[in-house]
Amino acid sequence: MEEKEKERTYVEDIERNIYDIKDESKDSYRMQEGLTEEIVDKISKEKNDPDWVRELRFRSLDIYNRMPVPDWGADISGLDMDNISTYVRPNTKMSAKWSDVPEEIKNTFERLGIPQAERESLAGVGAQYDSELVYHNVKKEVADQGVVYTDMESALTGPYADLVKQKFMKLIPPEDHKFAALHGAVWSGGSFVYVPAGVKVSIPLQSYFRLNAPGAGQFEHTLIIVEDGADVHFIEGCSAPKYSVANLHAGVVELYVGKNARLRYSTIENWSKNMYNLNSKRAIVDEGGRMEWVTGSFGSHVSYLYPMTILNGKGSSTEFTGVTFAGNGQDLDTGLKIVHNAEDTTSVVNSRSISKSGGINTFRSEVTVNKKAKRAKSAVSCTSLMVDNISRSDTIPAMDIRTNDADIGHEASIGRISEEAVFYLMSRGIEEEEAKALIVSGFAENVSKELPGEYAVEMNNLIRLEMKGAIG
Amino acid sequence: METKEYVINPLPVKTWNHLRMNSAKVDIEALAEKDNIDITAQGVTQKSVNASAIDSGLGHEFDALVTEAVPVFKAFETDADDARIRADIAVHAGEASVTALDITAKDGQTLTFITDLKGDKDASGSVALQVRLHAGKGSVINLIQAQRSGAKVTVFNDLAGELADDASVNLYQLFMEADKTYGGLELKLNGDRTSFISRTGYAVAGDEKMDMNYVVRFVGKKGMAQMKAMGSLSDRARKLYRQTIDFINGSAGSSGEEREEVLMLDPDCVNGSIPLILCAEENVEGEHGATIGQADDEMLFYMEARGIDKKTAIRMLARAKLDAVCAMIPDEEFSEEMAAYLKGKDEYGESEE
Repeated sequence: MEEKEKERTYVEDIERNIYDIKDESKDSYRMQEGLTEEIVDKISKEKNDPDWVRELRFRSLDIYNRMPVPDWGADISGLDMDNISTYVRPNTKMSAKWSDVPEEIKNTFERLGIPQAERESLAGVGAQYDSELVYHNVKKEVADQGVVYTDMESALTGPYADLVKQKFMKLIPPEDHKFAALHGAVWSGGSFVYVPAGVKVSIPLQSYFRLNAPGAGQFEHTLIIVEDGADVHFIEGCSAPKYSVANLHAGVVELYVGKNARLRYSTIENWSKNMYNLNSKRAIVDEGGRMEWVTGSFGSHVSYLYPMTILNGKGSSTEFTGVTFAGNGQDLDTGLKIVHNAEDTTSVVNSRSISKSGGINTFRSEVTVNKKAKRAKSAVSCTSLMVDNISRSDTIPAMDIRTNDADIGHEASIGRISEEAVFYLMSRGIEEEEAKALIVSGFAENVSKELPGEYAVEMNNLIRLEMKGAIG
Repeated sequence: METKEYVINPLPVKTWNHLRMNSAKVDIEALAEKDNIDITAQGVTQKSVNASAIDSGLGHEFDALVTEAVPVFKAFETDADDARIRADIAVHAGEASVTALDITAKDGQTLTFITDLKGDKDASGSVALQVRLHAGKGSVINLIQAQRSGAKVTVFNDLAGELADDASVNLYQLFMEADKTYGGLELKLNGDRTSFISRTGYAVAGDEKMDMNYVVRFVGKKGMAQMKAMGSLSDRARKLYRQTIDFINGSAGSSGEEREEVLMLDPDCVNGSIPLILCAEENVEGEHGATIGQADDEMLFYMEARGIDKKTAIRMLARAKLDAVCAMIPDEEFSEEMAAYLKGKDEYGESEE
């Protein structure tokens, strides 16, 4: 057995299937590559920005130009903004009917199963193609409850314009980091969700982001406000075909969770493996509120992804459940940040990662318990699985505890697939490849069991797909 | 006093800068060797070796500072199978001293090495100690370190070392009193079947600060490391503990464990912990566990029910972290000496030993 272990130094990676099908690029407008004042000005005019958004764009560009590239984290030296087009408008306007969406774009989303999912299990869907929403709809019974689910541009000027102005890029300001500043300068697309006080949306809303254009960036902005006592589940999906040139995703997600409200934010991220996914997500939770993150990260060449939760109200809580799967050519730097800012706050983290075929996983976390967070409790568990001998898995958890009246626990472990478990399954007639896929699926069950059935199936299929050929 | 800023205790892999955990920036005045060391040894030869750069826990900048101040290290060797060396390093008022020691355990030898940084009543300034360990095949080095320099002293305690096949290093550390303590360790488990066990106890009180960086790199196969740090923070004390186990590709069959227990006794103390596991090898097991919190209510209730007032009970719980390490020290004489020192410190505020 030991000799065999030594031999297993390379695990074949495989081609992705439906996600890699490319549409012929038929965009109606593509911004020249690069990032200059002129380009930001063009985007602002193209989007017909309100004055405050236009001002925000130029302020953000100035911050971006002054901020250094992060000196920690995965290597992003292959990302050259001079080669990225920051705005690509598809050849259509946004519609509330799939029949109005151009055939080739509709086919893309059909292949990804979005319209079917909408019919069967979703309260509303937004579909973004390159830089713009091409479809947005919310079920009538949900809209009748006062739930707003619309594209971000409409929200800037619609009935909630003042509220949007009050919240937009306030939780993640452009000063936060270089790619938040980039986002502030060139953002387009994304969704606005407003759930009124006391409204409980029983089935999820979903946004799906598809980046089809090569050498382009996607910078959608998602703003969700869940008022006191309300409850909603938001699902985010994303994918892109693979190109030989770098693509960039630098979205921003800002989530406001009111008193005793609950927001679950689920993500299945399956960007293509030429994507730099430098995404920012942050939630602030009021008294008694609850923020739940469910995250499956499978795609991207490089990821920087650390959803942050600020537990700002007494008795607020958060739970993070995540799995990251890094394969050949992937350097996925993922994790989370939690700030306990009030009494009796609670955080629970259950993170898993799988590294194979030379993939690099880094779990990076921060748990900060501030002085006023008396009786705070935090439990972080992080488990990593190494499938072969050419991959890498690093764990970098930080704890900053500023009160003695807190109970903080942290557990991390790293190891390999149990040979005994593989042997057991093989002795019952299961092929080695399938046995390992089963074990890895079980390892990632923390996430799949938290997803609606069809998404759990999709995630398990992704794992099976990634594990195919993973034997030595 | 002229000082220069140094970046010390660097994390092997950086994280977010806003956490201020990637390294420590410290102003250090020029260090110089002093006549402040007393060596007690049986059957041991003291030699001199020229200083050369090494990867140490406090980092390259500090190592360069040491090798510049101490171009010739004190080195120790013995032909005995079992040897004991004790280095008492005195800390006086207003000094900025540095001591550099190079310890070799030849193949198959067992060597117990004790360092005791002990301050005068009016000790102040800074004291630096760098110890380099070379553990030969099948050798055992027990390194025992006590730090009781005094409440006005800044301490730099730097360790570096390498282990050959079947070698073991056991490290016992008691950090008991300093204004600021900067501790570092970088150990390379180069050989196969190596073992490293560390037990670090500390009590940080008042406005004291402690900043640590321990790195163990698994290079050879079937290495084993267990690092455990346990201590208490009281008053306005601040502590940052960096621990790293690094499984380098090829270190198959190795296992590493980091454990940390932090008792926070007062509302104004601050604890930072950053335990890294770096892994480029499939066939390894790495684990980390930390528990951080205040004194257990049930334990306090139990002690109060037996007539121990709360303040005393809390002090006893804090002392228990140091006592636990003290009891593990394999040198009976030094263990008893430290137990007596702790008892005296506990009863009189400063030791009557």
